[in-house]
Amino acid sequence: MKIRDIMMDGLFRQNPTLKLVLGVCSTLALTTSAFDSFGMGIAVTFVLVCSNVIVSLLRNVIPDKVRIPAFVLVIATFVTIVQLFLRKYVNALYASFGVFLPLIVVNCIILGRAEGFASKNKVGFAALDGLFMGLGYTWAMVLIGGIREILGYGTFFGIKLWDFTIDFFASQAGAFFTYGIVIALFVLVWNAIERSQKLKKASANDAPVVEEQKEEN
Amino acid sequence: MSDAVKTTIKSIAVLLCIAVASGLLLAVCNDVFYYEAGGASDFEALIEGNWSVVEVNGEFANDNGSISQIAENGTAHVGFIVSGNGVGKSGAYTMAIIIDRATNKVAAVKTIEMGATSSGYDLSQEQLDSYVGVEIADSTAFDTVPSNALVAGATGSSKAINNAFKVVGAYYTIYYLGGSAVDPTEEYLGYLGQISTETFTKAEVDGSITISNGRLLLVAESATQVGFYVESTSDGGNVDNGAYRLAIVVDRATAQIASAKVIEEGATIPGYEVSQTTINAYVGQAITSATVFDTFEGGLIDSSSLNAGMTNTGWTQSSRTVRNAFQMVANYYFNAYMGGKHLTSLQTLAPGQTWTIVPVADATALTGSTILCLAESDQGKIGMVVSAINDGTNVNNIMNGEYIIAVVIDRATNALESAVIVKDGWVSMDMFAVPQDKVNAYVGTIIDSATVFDTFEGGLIAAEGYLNYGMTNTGWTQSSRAVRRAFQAVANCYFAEYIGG
Repeated sequence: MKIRDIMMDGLFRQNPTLKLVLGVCSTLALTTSAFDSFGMGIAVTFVLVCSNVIVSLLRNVIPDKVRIPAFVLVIATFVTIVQLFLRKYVNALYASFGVFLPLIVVNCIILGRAEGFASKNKVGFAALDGLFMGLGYTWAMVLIGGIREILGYGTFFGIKLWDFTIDFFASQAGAFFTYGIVIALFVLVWNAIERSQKLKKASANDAPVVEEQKEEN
Repeated sequence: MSDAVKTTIKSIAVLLCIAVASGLLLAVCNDVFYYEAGGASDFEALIEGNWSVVEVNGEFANDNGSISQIAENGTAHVGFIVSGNGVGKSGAYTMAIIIDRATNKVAAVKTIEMGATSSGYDLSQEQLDSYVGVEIADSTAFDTVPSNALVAGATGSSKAINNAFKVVGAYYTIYYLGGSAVDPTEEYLGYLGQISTETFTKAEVDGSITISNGRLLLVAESATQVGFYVESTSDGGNVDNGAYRLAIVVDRATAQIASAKVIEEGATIPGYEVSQTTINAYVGQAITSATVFDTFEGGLIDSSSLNAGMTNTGWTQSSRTVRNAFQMVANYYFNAYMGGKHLTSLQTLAPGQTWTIVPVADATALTGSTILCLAESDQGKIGMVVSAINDGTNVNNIMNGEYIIAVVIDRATNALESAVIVKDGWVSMDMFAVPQDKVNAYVGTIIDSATVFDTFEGGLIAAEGYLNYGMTNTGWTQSSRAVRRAFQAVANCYFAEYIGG
């Protein structure tokens, strides 16, 4: 397994927000501002890395039948730590997250990576998977949050850009709309990139064949 | 022992181990990230910083409410969790209020616990933010509710919230400004007693009127006069001087300055004091507009006449500061007592005309309505701004508040030319609002009797069509009846004043 593959999977190929469409609740609810989106992304990344490491370390110890409750126990521990940390040091963010902070426990991305990757791979790979999945989630959140904040409030990371605002983008309907548009654009661009890479590979493989055929003719 | 049993025991043991390890880790983290729940977190959410809870002074007591927690953000801010006593139908409001210690101004506010019976009577954050920037100079800082925080139909909630601010104002004055929280009203009334023989009682300051270059410390009313105790500040000239405090009395019948006196001298340079003789130049001057004293120079002192060695010319700053006090009084009196603040409604409704306020002493308003402003234009129009409340029956506790309408009547034809609702009495249920087309139904009516609108039903809205919520009420909606009542008052007043009924 290549580190590059883990990185590309987390950031793009299996981006949890834009390709796998996981963790939708928090994506829709917390992308009202780029700052909140960034904060949520970092919180999820921390929990992903830590829970992946622990799950990977215990992968040979945890009996198969109780793996899900064991994973939830591990994830809940780290979510609680994030909660305690944010409440003390970043209270505004803590208040802003509301119920979506404890709900990280049942975030499909985290449980999915614990079950699908960390429980089957070595610690180093599991940690990297958690890191890049978290970063993939973070950039997607910041992108959606940034678009909504700029159009809905005329600000970016709280910095005023202009007075022009479209209230729709600040609303929940705006969250669905923006999320849908971003997914569509991401898939469009990513598919185009993959197609062009395949074509390049194909043309690189075909080139000598064409030469041989010419010789035969 | 079978494999299944072994697996079960192992499963339980593993889960227990993870739970114990998690518990230990969280116990450590809980200590490391220990955070005292309560007020500090509410302040942190409003203004980030290093908040620490401090003890509330046990000797403090206030009739308007109580303080449950105080926290300080270093020396930059002080935050209060304070409960303001309920007023009317509203229960007590618990608020988080932060004061900027450098400026002594309200820096942030939020509601912790609503006292209103429903969210429809609660104040929005935008309305609460009207308090932001209000300076606490003494314990009277919140005697006047900011205009945007005094919500029609939710006045109980507005005043309960204001009570919370009053408590903070009193505490901050005593323990952060080192002042006294004793109500100074009696003292201020005493100053009015020095220049008038009338008996004054304190009146509520109209927060919708903008006050500049100073503060209205007291507005008081007697049967024939209005008394002011004001503090005027310097308007920024070249010689520094402090604030002046003056007692000024206005005669209600003539709108003239009846008497005035400097109570606290503001001049810091000997010789620059403003004498009583100079003050008397204002006495007898009539308040004909909000800006009547803006160009009045009778009470100004030429600075060059005082000190030949000084290079500055023009009027002394001290005499200009005194004039500021009279400007403040004229502005307030014209707007609050002569209906001046309502002129803008007429100017909007009938632009391009010059309106002159006419005394409404002889105008007759009906019960439940008030003629707020009667004015004549230079183009033969009569303008009126009238307030009215509902005429009684309330249905299922759905209240509607005060309606204010502005109308323009053509003096030549006695026809009601145009009308608009300036203030909508409905605060929560938009469906009961009176639309402009219902107001337009009154337009065109010839006012040939005082009761021309008493039986007019063109502007009323049938309640049956709207009230499908189990209500037994029939007839016309209260809101449309309140609007008709305002038009009835218009007809009554116009007929009495201009047709001679």
